[in-house]
Amino acid sequence: MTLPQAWALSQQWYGNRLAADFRRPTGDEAMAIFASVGLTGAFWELPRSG
Amino acid sequence: MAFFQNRNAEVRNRIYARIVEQGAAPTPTDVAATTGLDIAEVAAIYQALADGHVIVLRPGSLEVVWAPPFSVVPTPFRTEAGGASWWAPCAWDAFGIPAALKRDAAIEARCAGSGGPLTCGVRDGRAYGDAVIHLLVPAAHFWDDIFFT
Repeated sequence: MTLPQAWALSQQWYGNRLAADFRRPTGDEAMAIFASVGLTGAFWELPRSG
Repeated sequence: MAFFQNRNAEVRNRIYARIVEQGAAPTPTDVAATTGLDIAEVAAIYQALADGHVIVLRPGSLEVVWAPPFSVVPTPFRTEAGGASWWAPCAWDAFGIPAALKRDAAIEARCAGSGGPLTCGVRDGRAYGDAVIHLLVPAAHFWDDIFFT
């Protein structure tokens, strides 16, 4: 991935990591985050149950 | 015993806070002492956080090595932000540190191919640098062997 993609992904993935109510994204949520920065395809697929 | 609505979250927050402030992770004994929780319960929460892929423990121990995007052990990825610096487990996480801290950062890393130094980071809220990050392991298998990933 390019650095702008890494930064965009990081902001969504880690932007709330220090929040008191942080929780890890489910599989579906994670794939939506990947897709939002152009990371799609089999490499980025996760189990849908989370 | 102290009362916390969500003890897992309380322990997790204590771990992250110490890493952000000092670059080092607290032990379960440290967290028990500062929260009033029972040390056995804190130890169980450490393991639960690791099982939930929130933190990474040194195998066979309760020693935190990574609380992504932070690493408390040296790695090839170093992120400086606001006058402090932290190691990151991987290149993606090196950008995760400014994301978590919500500030600009300078990243020093080594090219996996040539071993040469790479400089990149976030300035005025935008990524800079011309490197490309290669991930070798598909997302579904990131945590099969997180140290390799």
